[in-house]
Amino acid sequence: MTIEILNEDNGAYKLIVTGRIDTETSAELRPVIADIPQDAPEVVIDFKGVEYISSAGLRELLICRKRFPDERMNVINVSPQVLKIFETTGFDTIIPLKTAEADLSEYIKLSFKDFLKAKVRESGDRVAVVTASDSYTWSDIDKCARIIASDLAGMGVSRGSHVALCGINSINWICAFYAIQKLGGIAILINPSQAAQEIGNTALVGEAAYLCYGEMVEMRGDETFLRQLMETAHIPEGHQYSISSGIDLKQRFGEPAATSGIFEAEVEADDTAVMIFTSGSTGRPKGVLLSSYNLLNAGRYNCEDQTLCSDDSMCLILPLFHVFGLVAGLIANAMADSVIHIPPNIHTDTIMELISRERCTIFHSVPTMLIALINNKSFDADKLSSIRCTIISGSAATEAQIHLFRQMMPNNHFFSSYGLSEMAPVSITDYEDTDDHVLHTVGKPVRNIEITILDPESGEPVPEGKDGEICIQGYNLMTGYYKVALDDQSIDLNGWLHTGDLGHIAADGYLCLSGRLKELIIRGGENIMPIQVENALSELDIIDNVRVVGVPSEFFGEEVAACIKLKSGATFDEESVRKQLSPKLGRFKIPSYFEIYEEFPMLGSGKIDTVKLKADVINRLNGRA
Amino acid sequence: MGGNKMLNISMDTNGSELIVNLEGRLDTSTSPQLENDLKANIDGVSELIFDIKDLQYISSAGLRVLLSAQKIMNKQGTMVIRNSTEEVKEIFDVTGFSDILTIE
Repeated sequence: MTIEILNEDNGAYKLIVTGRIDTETSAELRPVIADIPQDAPEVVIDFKGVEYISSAGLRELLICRKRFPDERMNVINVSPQVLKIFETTGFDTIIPLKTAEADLSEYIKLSFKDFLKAKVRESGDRVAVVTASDSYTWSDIDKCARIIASDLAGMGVSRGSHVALCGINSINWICAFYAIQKLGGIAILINPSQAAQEIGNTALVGEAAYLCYGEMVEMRGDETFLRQLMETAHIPEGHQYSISSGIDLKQRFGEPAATSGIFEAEVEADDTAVMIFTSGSTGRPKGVLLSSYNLLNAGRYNCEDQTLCSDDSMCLILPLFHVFGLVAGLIANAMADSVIHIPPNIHTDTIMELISRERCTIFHSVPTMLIALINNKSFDADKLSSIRCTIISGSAATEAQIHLFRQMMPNNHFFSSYGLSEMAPVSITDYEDTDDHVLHTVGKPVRNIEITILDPESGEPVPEGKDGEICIQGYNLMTGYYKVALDDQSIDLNGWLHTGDLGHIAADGYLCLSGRLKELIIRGGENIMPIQVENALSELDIIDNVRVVGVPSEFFGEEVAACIKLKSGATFDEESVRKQLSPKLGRFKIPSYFEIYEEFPMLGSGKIDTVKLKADVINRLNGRA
Repeated sequence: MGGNKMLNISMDTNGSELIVNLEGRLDTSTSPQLENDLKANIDGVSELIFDIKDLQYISSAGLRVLLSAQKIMNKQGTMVIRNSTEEVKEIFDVTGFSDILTIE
């Protein structure tokens, strides 16, 4: 056993104890404790390195507790096995304890502003971001951010200002993000692929008073685009700031602003730093409020889960306005001191060439992009052989896809993961996980968060392994939605965020998703997940694509309707389909209605517009009644 | 103890009215304390008043505790926040919480 004694400025003492506290070693504790002045305001004993404590050790703690009454003595970072000793002896009720998991001291308590300062201090000369034309160290990023911050401050941006940030991934986007943080503003991150009016509306929801804009997909040099955006958002003329990729901030490094910009705003880790929007396919977007504390700690743990280290380099195609790109891309790499490569566009040729030239090791992607790379005419397994880690995002991969990916990228490790803008990540698979886990689960809950599965009707926890609504809380949970009425704030009275996603925790601790609560069909009290019925139908030869929705029924409450797109040349025979489904599905799950579609209504994102489809089915059925 | 880490919570009960006085900083380290104290005392309360004249700072985690408290009180009565300093008022404003909570 070793004891390290730290005397804090305010007279408090900290003892860092390591090893085993038993009959022999515990005797060393007493003189150390006796030497601490009895009027010390606080005595903290850090148990992070303690593996065992015997009865003799507990007795020494009791003496210490008596010497420093009134909660002045605390034991922190108690590991689960040592906690068990306290519990079985009842000493957990006598000695004030904090377990290792609940101890907040292990979290990063920095604002983005101070985090950047720390990066410059510790890794100032390390390259953090590489673009098609240049590379940027942490010191460069800091200088660029100072220049932008000084410009923005001149426009009136200050602590608490709402600043919309909209543009495709770029070095200037990253610098503008840090610039807003330097000033203590809230960065309102907006999807740049939307139409002018949509971007404007989103900025309006977040009440943005300023706009930093880079390349926006639909803008294409059109001046009216920006005007329409700003009018919709009610952003005053003169409050717009271009961060387009044509602007090379390094050209301005000679200006005093690059080094001497003094930004006085004191920014705390816990201040709201970012607003991100939830991407519901219906209704207006909701602004999710997140702090530096939420995001930096999420990124730090995610960095460990990805196994990122300083030798890694990531080809980043995840959008930075999205929580996943921000956490698993920008922040996780900053934690690891690894390099981010930003491709100039996301054409498969460009991506493949970049990965191959830079020997990138990390590439997070949607399944569609991986397939597109493999199908590219110049695909060569060698070109992608440096990649060792891919979190599959967007949608789950199918079994056939995973097999293909493994075959074409034998060195790669694939992850599945789950998270929401409101709290991300929630769960992730292991680096060396089985195909079964990657395909059929979204991994195990990440450290230090809580998950419970609640019955959507009663709100009570469901029995183990049974489906219910996934509810979560933890250090990375948002504050709330910006100016959304209390009843629509999805955090409940006990602090649980109701995700609206259905799922269960399997016996091995992995989280499995089964659908959206809104899509759940309740037929005569039986819960039916559309995905189950869709999967059974997809296996039939004649089906090209299928969506299953609930339609109102006087008798059952709801009934199951299947919307089907047939393969070309196939004919539909309802009786035969029912017969083929009956061994696969319980009788109540077999659709009451089958509707044939030539095309499904689609959303801008390329997904099927289930809301419109459902309305259409109901219309068709009513027309026939 | 480091003076800037502290939150002092004192509660005055008057029948179904509960006045919670907050002094110091309501942040990630201290908001669990408020959450626990509220949970232990909120039953049967129909009027919950936060007096925050001595509150220097409120963080995101603190706002979340107030949000949950407001949800509970919407079911069983009313909740108001009184005597906010300018600094704390500014935090309520930029995060939009002045529209969600009743701040007098």
